Amino acid sequence: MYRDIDENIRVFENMFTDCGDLVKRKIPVSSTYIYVLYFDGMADRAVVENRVLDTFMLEIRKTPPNNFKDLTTALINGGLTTADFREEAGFENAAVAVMSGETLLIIDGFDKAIIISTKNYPVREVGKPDTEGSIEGPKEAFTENFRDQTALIRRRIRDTNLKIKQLKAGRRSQTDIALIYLEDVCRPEILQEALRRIESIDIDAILDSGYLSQLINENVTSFFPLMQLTERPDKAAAEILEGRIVIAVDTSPFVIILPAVLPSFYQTGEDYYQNWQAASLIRIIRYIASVLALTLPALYVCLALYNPSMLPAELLLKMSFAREGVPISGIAEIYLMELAFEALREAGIRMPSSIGSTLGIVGGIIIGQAAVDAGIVSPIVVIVVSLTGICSFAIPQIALGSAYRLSKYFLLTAASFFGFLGFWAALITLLIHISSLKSFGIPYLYPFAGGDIEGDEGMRDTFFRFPIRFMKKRPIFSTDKQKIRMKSE
Amino acid sequence: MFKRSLAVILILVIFASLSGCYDNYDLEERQLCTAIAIDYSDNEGYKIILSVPVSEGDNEVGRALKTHTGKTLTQVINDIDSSSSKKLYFGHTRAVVLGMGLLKSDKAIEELTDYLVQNVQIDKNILLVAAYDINSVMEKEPAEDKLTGFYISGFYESGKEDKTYVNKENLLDFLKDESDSKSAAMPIISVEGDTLVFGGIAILKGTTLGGTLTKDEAYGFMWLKDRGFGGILSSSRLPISADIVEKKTNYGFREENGKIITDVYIDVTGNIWNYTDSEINSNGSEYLSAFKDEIKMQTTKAIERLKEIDCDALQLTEELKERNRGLYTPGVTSVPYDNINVNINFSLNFV
Amino acid sequence: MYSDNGKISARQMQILLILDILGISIIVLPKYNAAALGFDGILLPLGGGIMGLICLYFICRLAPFLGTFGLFDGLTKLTGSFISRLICLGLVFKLIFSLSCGIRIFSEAAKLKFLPNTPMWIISGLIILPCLYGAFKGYEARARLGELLVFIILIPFLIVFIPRLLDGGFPSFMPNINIGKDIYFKGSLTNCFAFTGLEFLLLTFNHLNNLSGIGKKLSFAFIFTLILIFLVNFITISILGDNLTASLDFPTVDIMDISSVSKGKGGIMMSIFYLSVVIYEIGAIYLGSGLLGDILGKRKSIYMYLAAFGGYIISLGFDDVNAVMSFLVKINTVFGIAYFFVLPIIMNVLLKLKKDDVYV
Repeated sequence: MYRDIDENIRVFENMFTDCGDLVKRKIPVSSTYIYVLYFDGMADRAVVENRVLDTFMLEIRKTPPNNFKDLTTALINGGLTTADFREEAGFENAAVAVMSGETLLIIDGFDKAIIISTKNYPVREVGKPDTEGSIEGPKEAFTENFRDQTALIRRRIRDTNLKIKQLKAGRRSQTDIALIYLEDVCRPEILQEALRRIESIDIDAILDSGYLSQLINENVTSFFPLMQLTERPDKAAAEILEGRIVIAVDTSPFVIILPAVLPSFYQTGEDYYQNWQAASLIRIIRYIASVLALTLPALYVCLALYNPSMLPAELLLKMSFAREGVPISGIAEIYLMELAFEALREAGIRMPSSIGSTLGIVGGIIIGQAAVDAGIVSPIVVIVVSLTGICSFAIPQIALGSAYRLSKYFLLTAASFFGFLGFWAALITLLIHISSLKSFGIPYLYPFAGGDIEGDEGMRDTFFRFPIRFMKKRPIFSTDKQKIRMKSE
Repeated sequence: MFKRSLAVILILVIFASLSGCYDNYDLEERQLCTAIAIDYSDNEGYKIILSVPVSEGDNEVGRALKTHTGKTLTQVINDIDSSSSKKLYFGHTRAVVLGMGLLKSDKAIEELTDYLVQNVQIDKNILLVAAYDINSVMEKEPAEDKLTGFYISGFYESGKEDKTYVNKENLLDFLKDESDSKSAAMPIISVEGDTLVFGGIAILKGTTLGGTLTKDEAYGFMWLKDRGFGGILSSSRLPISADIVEKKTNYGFREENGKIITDVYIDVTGNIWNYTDSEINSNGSEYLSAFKDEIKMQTTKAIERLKEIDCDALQLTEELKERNRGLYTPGVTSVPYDNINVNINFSLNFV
Repeated sequence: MYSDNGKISARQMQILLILDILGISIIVLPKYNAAALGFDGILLPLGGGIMGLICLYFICRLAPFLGTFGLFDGLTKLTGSFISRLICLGLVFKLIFSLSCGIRIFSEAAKLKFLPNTPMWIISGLIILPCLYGAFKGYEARARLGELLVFIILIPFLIVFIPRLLDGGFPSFMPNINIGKDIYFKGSLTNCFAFTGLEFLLLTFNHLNNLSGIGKKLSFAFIFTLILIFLVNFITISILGDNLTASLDFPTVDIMDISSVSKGKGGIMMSIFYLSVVIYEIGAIYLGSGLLGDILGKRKSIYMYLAAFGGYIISLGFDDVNAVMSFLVKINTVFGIAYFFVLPIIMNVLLKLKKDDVYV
C-alpha cells in the first residue's frame, strides 16, 4: 500500500466502482486523514460507528497527540476499542476482507491498512436441525455462519489439540473453509490428503459444502456418498473425537465429515443418547429398511412375472385376479407407480408445508385409491411402491437414501429383463462396486469387510449399538496411538 | 473414464434389448393349474383333465375343469394351452392323479415321467396319486377347499378332521423308488359319498402296474414302509381306536442258517382319548395287545400280497445294500422278503 | 494411506479359499461321487480332503518364496524363462477352462430354475458380466466382497443341511472295499482336484500382507470347507439314494427344493451359491489375465476381456451339463496332477537346491 492516502483511495475507488452498497468516507482526524471503507449490511454499523469513528473523531480531538508518529501509533494502539483487528499491506487481501464484511481503515501516511473485524451479515439464528431431528439430545443445528459452526464445535471439545485450520477456496467467492480435527487423534495421512485435495481446487465459487464434497470426491462415477454431511454440532463433535475430520464451509449449514464408511451413514446422534437396547433395535430396523428400499420392487417383479411358484398359491391367486383387466403390463405398472411416487416426493419438498400435507392426501390416498378402484393399477403394486418409499425415508442420511434409490432402479431394470438371475447379477455388481470403494483410503465397507485389524471394535457400532462402556476403542479413523477412548476401570 | 462407462452402458443396453424377455409373463396371462389328472387307453390315447382356478368376483375363488384328449401327452397339453389366451402354468400344481389305464401302460408311464421331470415348472414335491376313475375324483367339489389340487394335498396334512393314514408319494420319492428298486407304491384315491377317501395302494412293478393293495393290506404296507405316517388306528377286536402321533420304521438284516432274515422294527406312539381311570387299570395291557394284533394282522396281509406281486416295493434291497453290504447280492430283489420278522413296539398315552 | 496397497489379509485369504472351493464343488461332487462309488461316494470328499491337505502343505511351504517373487518371476528364477512361460501358460489355460465350466454349470442350473426359455448365451453372458466388472475392480475388492458374503453362504447349511442331519436314517459308513481300491483312490483324487481354489494360492501369496502362520490358517479354512462339502455330499446321497443322485442334473438343488424350510425355493438357495461362483470367476479372470500379462511382459486390461470372453465362448461350446461335468473332471485331473502335486513338489525341491542363488 502507498503511504499517501489519496493514492490508496484511488486504488480502492477503481476496484469498487459501481458498488452501491459500499460505504466510503475520508474523514479528517486532528491533523491527518483517515479513510473508512465497508459494505453496508455486511459490516456491523454500530461497531464501526461506536468503536471506530467515535474514538477517532471525538476522543482524539479531545487530547490530540503531539506529532504524526504519535498520532498514528495512538490511533493504532489506542484508537480502537476492539481487540479484533489486524494490519494488512496488500490491496487484494484488503479488498477480500472488505467483501467479507470487515471494515477497512486507512490512515494517511501509514503504508498498511487496518482491518477491523466487524462482520455482521444477515444470518440465521442457531435453530433446530431440519433434516436430522431427534427427540433426545441437543437441539442445536449449524447455521450458514462460518464462525457459528466453529464455535459450536469448539464449545463441545475444549482441548488444545482441537485444531481449526482455515483456508479459502473459490476464486470469486473466496469461501472460508475450515478443517476441524483433533491433532493427535486423526490420521495425518488422511489430513494431508484432504488438504491436498482442497488446495488443488480451482473453481470460481463454492456456494455450499455440497460443492466442496463433490470436488474432493475421489470417485466421480459412484453414486454412493464417500463423505458424510451433517447439520448437528453434537454429531460433528462426536466424529472429530473418533478421529475423523470435519470440514466447515461458510454459507452452508452442513459440515462435511470424512472419511465416511457405509455403517456410519446409519448412525445418528440420538443412537448414543438412548439406552443401547432401544438404539440397537432402531439400527436393525434401519438396515432392514434399507434392504427393502433397495430390493422390494425388483423382488416383486421377479416373483410376480418370472417365478410365481415362489409365492404362496393363495396370494398368487389374489394378485392374479386383482390384475384381471389392468390395461398395462406388470413392469410398466411398477415403473409408472415409482415415477408417480418420485414426482409426489419432489412436489412435497417444493410445496409450502401447509399445502404439502394436502398434496400427500390427494396424491397418495385419493389418486392411489382411485387408480386401484378404476383398475388402472393393482393394489399390490401400490403397496410395494409405498412400502419402498417409506423404507427409503428410514435411512437417516439423505445421500445414502438417494444412492439406494438409484440402485433400486438398476436392480428393477435388471429384474424386469432377466428375472431372478438379472436381480442377482445386478445385486452382485452393486456389491462389487461397493466393495471396491474407499473413502480416503478407508475401505467403504469397514467394519464388515476390510476391518481385519487386531483388537478392532468397529463391529460394536453397526447392527447393534453396544453399551458405551463396551466401546472402549476408537474405530479405524484414529491413529494407533490414540485408540483407547475409555480407560478400563 | 466416461468413455469407458459409456461403452459399458451401451453394451448393457444392447445386451438387454437383444435378449428379449423370454420368460416374462404377467400374472393374469398365466393360467394356474392346481391338479392334473391323466388317463390312457390304447384306443383313445391320453385323456387329461386340468383343474384351474377361476375368479368368481369379490375375491371368491372358484374352479373349472378342462378336458382334452389326444395321442401324445405333449400334444394334449399344447392343445389345452392353445385353447385359451392364457399360458398354462404348473408352478403351483399340487397333485397328479393317474388313472389305472395309464398305470397299466409302460409307454404312457415313461412318457409321463419324462414330461414331469423335463417340465421345469413342475415342483419335485408334486404328489402322485392313483385313481380308478379320474373323472369322479376331479369332479368332486369339496366344500372347504374348492381347488382340487389343494384338496388332495390337504388330505395329507395333519389337522384335517377326516384324516386317515395314507401313503404319500411325491415325484422325487417316485423317481428315487424307481431308480433304486424299479418299483414304487402310489396311494389310490376314490370318492366315497361326499368326500375323497384313501382306497388302497397301487404297486408299480418296473413301469407297469404290478397289482393293487386293498385298504387293510395298504395299512400294513405303510407300517412296514419307512416313511411318515399318521392317523387313527381302530382295533377290529375291541371297540377302541387310537390316534397315531408318531411312527418310525427301522430295518435290520442278519444271516441265519444261510437265510437272510429281515427284522422290521416298528415304533408307534398313540394317544387314547375319552377314557375312564378304571379302564386304564383293567384294560391298559389289553388295549395294547389289541392294537399290536391289529398292526400284526395288517402287516402279515401286506407281506403276503407283496410276495404275490413279487417286486421290491418296500425298497428292502436298497436298505440291505445301505446297511449290510456283506449280504447284498446285486440283482436279486426278492431275498429280503422271504423271511420278514416284524417287531412292534407300541406305547399308548392316555390323554 | 491405510490399506491402499492392493494387499489382502490372512483372514481374507482364508475366506476366499473357502468360497473358491465351495461354489462348484457343492453342485458337482455329489453327482460325481454317487456315480463313481454309489453309497460309498459319501466318503470320497474325505479322501480328497486328505490329498488336498498334502497339496496345501507343499503349496504353503512355497509361501515365502512366492510371496516375494510371484509365480512367474519365481519360476523364472528356478527354471529359466522358457519353462516358466510354458508352465504359466498351462495354468492360464486351466483357469480359463475352469472358468468356462463354472459358468456353464451355473448357467444350466439358472436356466432350469429361473429362465427356462431364455437362450443360453444370454444367461452365460449375464453371469460373466459381473465377474468381468469384479475383475476390473482388483483383488482387494474381491477379498472384501468375499468377506461380506461368506456369512450368506452359510445360510443354506443352517436351514437346509444341518437340520437334515438331526433326522437320522442314514446309510452305514462302512465302506465296501470289494468295489476296488483303485476306484476309491481315483475318486478321491478327482475330489481333490475339484477343490479349484488351491491353484489360486500359487498366484496370490504376493497379494498377502502378512505371511506368518499362513499355512496353519489356510489348513484351518480348508478343513472347514471340507466339512461343509462332506455334509452336502453325505446328505444329498443319503436322502436321494445313489442312483437318483447320479441321474439328476442338480441333485443338490433338488435337496434344497424339497427341504421343509425352503420348500419350492431351491432356486433362491442355489443363487446363494451364485455369489460363491462369482467370486471364483472373478479370481480366475483376474489371476488368469494377470499371469498372461506376466508371460507377455506387460499387464493390460485387454487381457481381462480376453480371458472372460475366452471362457464365455468355451462355455457355450458344450452340449449339456453332463458334457461339462465330464470335461471338468478330465481337465481337473490333467491339470490337477500338474499344478496341485507335481509343480509344488518340484518347486520345493528346486528351491532347496538353489536356495542361495534365488535370494540374491
